[in-house]
Parts: sequence; C-alpha cells; structure tokens
Amino acid sequence: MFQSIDRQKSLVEVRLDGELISLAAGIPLAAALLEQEITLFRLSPVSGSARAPYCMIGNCYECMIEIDGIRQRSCRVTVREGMDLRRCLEGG
Amino acid sequence: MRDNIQLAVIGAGPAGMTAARVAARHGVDVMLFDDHPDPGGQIYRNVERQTLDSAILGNDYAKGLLLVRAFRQGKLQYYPESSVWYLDKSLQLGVLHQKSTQQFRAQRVILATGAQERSVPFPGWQLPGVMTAGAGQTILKSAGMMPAKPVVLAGSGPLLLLLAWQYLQAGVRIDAILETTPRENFRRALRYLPAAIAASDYLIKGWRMIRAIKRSGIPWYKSVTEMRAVGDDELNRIHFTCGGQSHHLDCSVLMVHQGVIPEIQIAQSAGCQLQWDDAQQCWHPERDSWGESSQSGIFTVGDLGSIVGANAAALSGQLAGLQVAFQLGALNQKQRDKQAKSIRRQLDRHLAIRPFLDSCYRMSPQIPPDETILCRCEEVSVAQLKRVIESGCTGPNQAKAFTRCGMGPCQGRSCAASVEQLFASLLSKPLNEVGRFNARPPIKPITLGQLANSEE
Repeated sequence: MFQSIDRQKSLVEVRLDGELISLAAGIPLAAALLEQEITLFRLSPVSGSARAPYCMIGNCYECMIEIDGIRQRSCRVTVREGMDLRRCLEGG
Repeated sequence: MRDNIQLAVIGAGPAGMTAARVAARHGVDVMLFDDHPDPGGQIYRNVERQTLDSAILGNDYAKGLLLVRAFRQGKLQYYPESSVWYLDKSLQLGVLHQKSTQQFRAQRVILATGAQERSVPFPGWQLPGVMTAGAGQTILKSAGMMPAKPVVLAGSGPLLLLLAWQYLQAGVRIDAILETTPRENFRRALRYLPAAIAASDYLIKGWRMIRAIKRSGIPWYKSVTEMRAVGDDELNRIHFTCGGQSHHLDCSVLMVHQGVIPEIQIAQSAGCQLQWDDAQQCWHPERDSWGESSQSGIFTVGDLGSIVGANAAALSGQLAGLQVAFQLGALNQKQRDKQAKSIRRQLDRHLAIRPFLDSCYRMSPQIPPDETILCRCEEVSVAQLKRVIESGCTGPNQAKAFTRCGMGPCQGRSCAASVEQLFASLLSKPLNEVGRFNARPPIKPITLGQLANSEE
C-alpha cells in the first residue's frame, strides 16, 4: 500500500504469525507492514470486521498487534530484528 | 519516588522543547518526557534523521531542525520513549519507560501534548484503506514512504492542502480532492482577511499551495457532502454528493482530514478546567496569559492550549518557561516581563492568521447517517446512540454504561467529540452543557508487569 520514496532501507527478519518476513528497519512497524502489502492488522472483537492503521500517531489503537507477547500500537514501535508479531485474527 | 524535580515537561514538540529549554536556561532543573524516540513532535517528526529531499516536505519542516538542535544543547534531562500514564493534582506523575515505571513529584508541570485530528465519522470510515491525512504525513516523515496506489484526499483544512502539495512534490498520483468546506465559509472568512495581512507569510504559503494544486489539474470537488466509503474487507469505492449530484470514485486509499483539536486527555485527568472554544469548535484547558491552568502549577502550551500552529506553539512554550522560572525564584519579575514583551509581540503576529483560518475552515456539525459507526473500538452506531438518547440517557458518561461507547482501547479519543455533538444536536443543548467522557489513568496503556516493576 506504501512504497519508499528515495531509497531502499536495510531489511531485517521478523516473524509474523509464525512466518518469517523481511521488513524495513528503523521505521514505525505499522508503516513497514503497510509497505509489505499487509493491510489487515486485526479483526474487531465485536463484529470481526477488518481493521488497519488509521491515525498513525497512537490515538486510535486500530493498528494494535501482539509484539513480543504484549499487545501494542504498531505505529509506536520501531522495527527491530527478530520481533515476534502476532495479529489478533479471531473476531467476535 | 523522586521528589525533587523542579519542572516536568510532557511532550517534545515545538512548545515542549522550547518551554524546557527556556526554563533550563534560567537554571531550573528540568526533566522532559516524550513518547517518541526523537524530539520534534508530530510536526517535526524525524527531522534530525530525515533523508527525504527538502523540496518534498517544504521549508517550514526544515526549520524544525534549528529548534531541535537548540533543545539538544539545553542543560536538561530528556527522556525519550517515556510515556506519562498519569498526572494528579499534587503534581505527582507516573512515567513508563521500557519495561518499568517510575514516579516523580514535580514543583511545576508543563503539558505540551499537542493536537490530534478531529474525528468526523462517516459510513465506512473504519475500513482498511481509510486513514487520516496526518497518518499520510506521519508515514511520509517517519518512514519516507508514499502511497503506492492513487489516493483520494477528502475533508477540510490547511493540512489537507499541505499533504496534497507534498504528495505532488513526491510524485504521488492524487485522483481527486473532495473538499467538504462549505462554500459560505470562504465568504464569512473575508472579514478577517485584513487582520490576517499581519501574518502575510501564512497567506502567501497557502496561496502558493492552492495555485500548485490547481495547476496540477487534479479534480478538486468543492462543498462535498454525504461521503461514504464502501468495501468488504477494505476500501474500494467512495460515494459523495457535489453540486446536487451523486458521484462515485473507485479508490483503495482515502485520506481524510477535518482539522485538529487539542489532545486534552492528561490535562483533563489532572483536573484542569476545560473551556469550549466556539471559533475552533473544540475543548481546551483554561489558561492565563502565561499558560497556567486552573490547577495551580500545571501549565498548558502549544496546540494543547489552543490550536495555534508550530511557530506560535514554540512562543507560548517560551512564555510558560519564563513564568515557571519566575515562580521558582530563578528570575525576577522585571527580567521576566522584559523578555516576555518581545515574545508576546511575535506571538501576536503569528496569531493574526487564526481568526481567518478558524472561520475559513470552521467545522459545521452534522449528524452522520444512522448506520455510521461512531465508536470504532466498540462498534457503536449512530442509530444505537440515538436510541439511548431518545430513551432519556443524560449524557456521554451514561451512554458508556448503555452502549460501551468510548470504552474500548482508545478510551474515547476517537469518538468523544462526535458523541458530545450527537447529544447536543438531539437534545438541542449547547455543547458545554452536554458533558464529556471522564478521563482516567492509565492515560497510556501499561501492563501489570510494567506496573509491578516500578522503581522506588
């Protein structure tokens, strides 16, 4: 959904729902995931509808995923090598 | 607990950085806490490590580097990646840093928590692919990224035009701009234009942006209403009305903006009195001419005090910094007033643009269609809220109990304003009589483990 404007950033490996993927290092995790065409961040616990980053400044909590065991706003966390990311994909 | 901080500043945007630096310069012992890894706030996000060509982000952004450098040289303690999760009337504050929390008591607190985007719900605004214009800018500044697909920009306010201009410089394809500003706003704003001449640099900047956007040939729809985003698991189409006709556009990225409002969560939870600002259509803490709130010893500066923009924010930070230095005996009244005089003169010049901008982009409250989700976290619709209001619900806090509206992870940050507005409209009451959601700590998410790890 997003692409880098000026240059390629260095990549690091992280695990997303158990699978290894490469993400740009040193930028907000939510932006790095959007660059990899990951547009589903979680399912709403009420209806199970799909959600993705909305505000990118930590206000809306739509980009929450589990990062190393703690549910956090992915827009407020910087990408680091070896992160263990799990999306909450069980709605309802 | 550390009991001996003289001044705690919360937020490292232009107002917080400047307030901290000015107080520190006069010998005050200052600690500044900020959520982000680097200073600059949202406006100067990532300015120290920016790799994008300055032609994309513009000159005003580049100016932030001077402010950040001056801040870095200040004799103060700066704590990045530190979230203040509570503040009380006795000026005790809880700070979360990495895996543990710490408590402090300060003699003075300056809140510089800035602004957030005003949420104006419309059907489908919760779909992936719909985000705020501020989100687009944050991704641009912090990750150097632009949308890989064509975008549609919609809403009202200077930030929307700035983003359009920045995206044009970066080569993003903008399929349309859907401006929702009512046409009569521009006529009403005209009478504030003569006073705005004092801040002609803002007018010139705005005029240049508008001219560049017009020349680009992007379809620019005016006085747009009845916007609707449609899609199953993500956005694929927008419907809207313009000039009495319905239109639709296929699109997968929609960025919306309806102005910014003060981020009052911490100020409110600390008991600072709020006042309704009719011109800006938002709440902000009451403050005296130095920025001190109704809670003695707590100051509010920058966009938290009132939406004023980055330049005026930095100046308001200077005033609060001087007043704190004066109150703590680091500066006498004469020295304070002498320095404040020229600051106030500059501040007046920057504020001269506000009545024009506020009037031009004044938000006109409307009740969204029934199916619209107001509370994104708990998926509470306009229809559900209407039902409880019509059956006698007295205000937003009671609506929480009936509907769970405002009780999700965002703690009502996204829906508070629109819930109040709905109550005001349906009950035909002025907004300041409707009441608002209580703000309670923890203001920022904190785990039990982090809390248990507190350092005494």
